[in-house]
Amino acid sequence: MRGTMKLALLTLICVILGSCFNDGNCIITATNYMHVQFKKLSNSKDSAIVLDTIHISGTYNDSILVVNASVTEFLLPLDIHRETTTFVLQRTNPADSTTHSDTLQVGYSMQSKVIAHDCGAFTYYQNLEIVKTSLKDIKAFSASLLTDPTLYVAGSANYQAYAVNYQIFF
Amino acid sequence: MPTGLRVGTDLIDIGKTLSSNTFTGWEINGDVDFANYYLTVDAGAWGKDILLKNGDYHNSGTYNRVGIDINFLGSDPDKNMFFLGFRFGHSVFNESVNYINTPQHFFSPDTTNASNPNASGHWGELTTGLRVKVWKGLWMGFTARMKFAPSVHGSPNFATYDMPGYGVVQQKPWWGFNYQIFWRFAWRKDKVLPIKK
Repeated sequence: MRGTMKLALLTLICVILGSCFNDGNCIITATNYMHVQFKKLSNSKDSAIVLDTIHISGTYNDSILVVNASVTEFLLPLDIHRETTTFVLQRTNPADSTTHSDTLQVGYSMQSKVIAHDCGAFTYYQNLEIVKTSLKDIKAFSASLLTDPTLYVAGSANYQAYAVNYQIFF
Repeated sequence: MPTGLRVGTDLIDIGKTLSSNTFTGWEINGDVDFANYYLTVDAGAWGKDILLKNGDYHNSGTYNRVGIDINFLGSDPDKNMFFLGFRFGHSVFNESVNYINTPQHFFSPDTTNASNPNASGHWGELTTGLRVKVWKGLWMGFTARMKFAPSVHGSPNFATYDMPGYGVVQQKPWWGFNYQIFWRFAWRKDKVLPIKK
């Protein structure tokens, strides 16, 4: 009985002391980037589309992001001032060079979170949902916008660092 | 049958309140003996003003704890205590944060003001400590707490940072320490069991 008591006390003291040295760490997983992937409708494999421009509502009186590149996935920035953002994607079909315009409006909620006093407070975007879209086939994945800062690659957009939110099928 | 009521306060909270501009708090502790078992009740309040890297955070609220301590020095004639115990804690509080939300690209930085009024939460604690009779009814002692399983109910737009009585809710377990002074109001002499030789 006494041995058990000593062991229980020692364990309790170790846990309490261990907690004292459990420093908070500054791993910030908040992002306002929505990760979309483009897939082939026929076989669900990556589909490279030629993305010309993206019109984003709310960015300094609305902005047009010029891409002019063939991409299989993209990071779309959500408006941090509102709970909806509208994207208009202008793309060119490489097969016949025809241009198409697709609209995607998403709604979301924002949650304020203090990570630690020396890290600061950040906004987390969650409960992502499609409000309106002209896209015919779109599949939802994560309803939260999250990033893994340990996967960042300096000087390039590492899509792997961001949770996939939508797959768009063409 | 209980032999007395011990009422005390936490000196660390008083010291922190007097010496710090960022913390105000107090705590009252009481216990009643049932042989080697003590029914314990704590009540307190704290408020914190924390300067963040990109803003500031404020909270204030009240809390209480109810639990049982088991005294392992039951044969001590002065009823000195070395104890292990358990507590259930409950807190009612509000919190707010103001910070600069700086997106990576496209959007201008935004000053965000968020609040979590009328939030509540609960948690469990394992405790250990000492109570020593110093003079007549005057007692001193300490309580070390390992706090675990915090649960908060509040605004979905605010992730609670610091819950009064518990601390930083993202830290599981969290810890606490009280250095306490008590006065014991005794109404009955306890039977002291003879020490077997």
